[in-house]
Amino acid sequence: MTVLKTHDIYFAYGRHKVLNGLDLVVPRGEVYGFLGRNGAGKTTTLQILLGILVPGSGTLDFGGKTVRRMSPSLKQRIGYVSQSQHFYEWMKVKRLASFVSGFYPMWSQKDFNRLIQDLSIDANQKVGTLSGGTKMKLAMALALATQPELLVLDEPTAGVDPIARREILDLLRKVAKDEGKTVLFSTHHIDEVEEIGDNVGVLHEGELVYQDRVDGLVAFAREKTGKSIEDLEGAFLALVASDLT
Amino acid sequence: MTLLRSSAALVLKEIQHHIGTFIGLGILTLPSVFLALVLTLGTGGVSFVASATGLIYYWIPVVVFGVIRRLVVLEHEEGTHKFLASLPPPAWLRASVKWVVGQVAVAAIALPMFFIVVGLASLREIVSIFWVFQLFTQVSLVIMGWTAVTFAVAHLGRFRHWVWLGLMASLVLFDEIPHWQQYTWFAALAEPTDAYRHHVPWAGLATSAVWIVAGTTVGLWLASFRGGQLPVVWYRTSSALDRVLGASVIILWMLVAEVYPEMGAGSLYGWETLPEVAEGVHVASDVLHPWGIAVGTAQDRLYGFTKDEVRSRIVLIPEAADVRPLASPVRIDLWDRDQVIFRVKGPVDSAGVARIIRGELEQRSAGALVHATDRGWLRDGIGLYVSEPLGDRKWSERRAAYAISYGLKRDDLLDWEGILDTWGEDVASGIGAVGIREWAQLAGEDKAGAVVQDVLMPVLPEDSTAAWRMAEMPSQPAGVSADDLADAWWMALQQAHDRRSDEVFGVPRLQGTVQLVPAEASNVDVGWRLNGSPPDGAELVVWPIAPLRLQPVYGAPVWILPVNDNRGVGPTWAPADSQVRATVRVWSELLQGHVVMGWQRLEEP
Repeated sequence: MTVLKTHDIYFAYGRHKVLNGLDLVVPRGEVYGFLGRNGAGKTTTLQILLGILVPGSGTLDFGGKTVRRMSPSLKQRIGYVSQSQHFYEWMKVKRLASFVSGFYPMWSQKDFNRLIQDLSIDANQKVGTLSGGTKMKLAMALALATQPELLVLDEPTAGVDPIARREILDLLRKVAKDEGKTVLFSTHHIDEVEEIGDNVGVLHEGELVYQDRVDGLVAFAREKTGKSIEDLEGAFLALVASDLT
Repeated sequence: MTLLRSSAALVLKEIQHHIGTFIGLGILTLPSVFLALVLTLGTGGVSFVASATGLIYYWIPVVVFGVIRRLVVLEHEEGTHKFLASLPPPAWLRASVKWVVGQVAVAAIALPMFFIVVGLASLREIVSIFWVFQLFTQVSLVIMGWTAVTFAVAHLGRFRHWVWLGLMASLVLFDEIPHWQQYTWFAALAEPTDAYRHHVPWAGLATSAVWIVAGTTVGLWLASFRGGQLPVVWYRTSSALDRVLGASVIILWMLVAEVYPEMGAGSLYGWETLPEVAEGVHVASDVLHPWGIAVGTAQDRLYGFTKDEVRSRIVLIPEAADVRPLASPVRIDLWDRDQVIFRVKGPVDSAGVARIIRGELEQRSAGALVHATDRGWLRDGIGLYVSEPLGDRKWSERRAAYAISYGLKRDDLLDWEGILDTWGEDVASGIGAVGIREWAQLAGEDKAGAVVQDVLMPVLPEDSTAAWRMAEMPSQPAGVSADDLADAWWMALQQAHDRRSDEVFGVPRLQGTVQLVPAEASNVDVGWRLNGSPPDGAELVVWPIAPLRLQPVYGAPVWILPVNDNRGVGPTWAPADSQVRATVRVWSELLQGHVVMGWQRLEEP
């Protein structure tokens, strides 16, 4: 059973083609790792899923509806954590939460309070004074407090220190395993996918070259390239950067 | 419900985010009101409302740019638009909220200034509530127009500087095209202080409304097209070129301000912008302004009648009011200038005295002050452009405005500017005199007397005699028959006297001659012979003429001799070889309680 599907998504920035017939399938209740090199189109894909960008063609299946672009009501069912946080820095954490809560009917203040407590975030601190890692954790707390059907994260561990990274991954594992939430996260850290992912999609030059269980990636790469591949990193490199292997 | 909740959250955020800036802009703009007051009193401006609203229009761009920059530009420059875009509210809702907040913020900053202006203006400018409402409506729409256009341009990202540059440049480039201003963006945004739009209070609203709709539509479309992707793509960090462009826009703005010289300064137009509903108001002037001087002169004459010492330099005089119970002086001490407002109260018991004031003021200020509903247009139409410096007056617009004001067609009024171009200023006034007959007929036969009485004074005041004399010169290639002009005048006056003998004093038409009489070896005298006794106040007026140009050497007659008998000789002390032109003129200030002025051209031997 899937939460989200895309059908034949095309997207281009002017003449620069980014996505070329993307068919993404995110199973319900699982963690989907979205792998790709820098510039492969991961962020573009996630922004299309959020309705921030509109695909040139193709459709999305979400919440029982097939749409070309996510409507506001569908977006209310998706929690989104972007790669870099552009919060209003003059706001305090609690004011930011209050602001965000205005757009989500399912917002749980109780959950938010619990999350920022678990993540050691001061509700009275100004957002502008938070570190990059704390802002990322705050973004996750905000996204999870909306009670989303699907949690979408764009490289959530990029640029954060190892401790914050560990907290973020632990939180993701927790919400996925304990609460059964569906998580779609992009990354270029293969070990993260290996650690918390159930499924993986490998994006290369605008197309998915692999989309299935994480543990099938090595065999697939070995079969496709005919090379002796031992681990996920080797499989990833073989699929998206064959010149390096 | 979700929409309302989302909108409320966005509105609350915008207010919290920018309230400090909005208050700062409000505090910054407040002194402009008092600057307007200083400009009004210090530059000879006569209407605080006009100059202050003009200044407000200056400030509106500052306020609007500040507000829209905060709401739109800052969002993109700081990248917070990405955060907003990731939230459920669609782009059109986010943009709409910004539009509404922008409009409200600009109005909240600018409109209090408007009401302060109106409140202060009431001290010396009697305006009706309805007129205030009209002005308020116009100002409001102008503010909305500015905000809407700026809102749209702001979404053009790095191209916005170019667009502003183009808009500003277009004003400078196309300013010479007739009526172009009335329909352009700037006309809607900065021009409502001009005479045209205030004479026709509702005429500018449609133009303003069009620009509001256009700016709003384009702005919302740009903001929401494909989820608001255009501004995202177009915005970038300001470059050196952007800053140069921004500076160019400011410079062009200054140039545009030169194009519209009436903006922001006290203006003679001020009182003309007052509506006819304020017809009780006649004049307000500054001591150094010609009008103020005229007031002083009038009061000198008043003193001769009333023996009341009245010294005011800003005067409000209700029409036909008795001047003796001058009361309620309101003194404004500003720069040690004697600025006094008088409000005239009481019944009319001395029409002659009132007419002296009117005559003096109208003669000096060419009659533009009185907006009497039935005949004021004649003074406006003729007098203003006879005696006032023409300068940068927009006659074509004013002509249209006057015509509309008095229920006429534009072409019903003499194209004074065209006549001036063709004949020159001096001859034009003579032609205008002929035109009076037609205009009198236009106003109705029964009004002829009043028309003539009103028109005579402003058209042929003392300083216009030169023009009249020029028209009678045989060598003047104007093609104007001086005899025809004189006949027209006398016919009009006679008709007026026939119909309104109680108001228009019949001046006997003098016949006679003037001639140059050799006196001593180096001088020439002027002799006259009339076919009847001259009335009181008849004068012999002698002008030296420049030989080559055949124009008067001076702006006023050099010799004015009393004419007490039907014949005589007056010394001029002019050189024997000089050219002079002599006229016997009858100018009696007060005859049977009415001011009547006539004149007679005498034939030369």
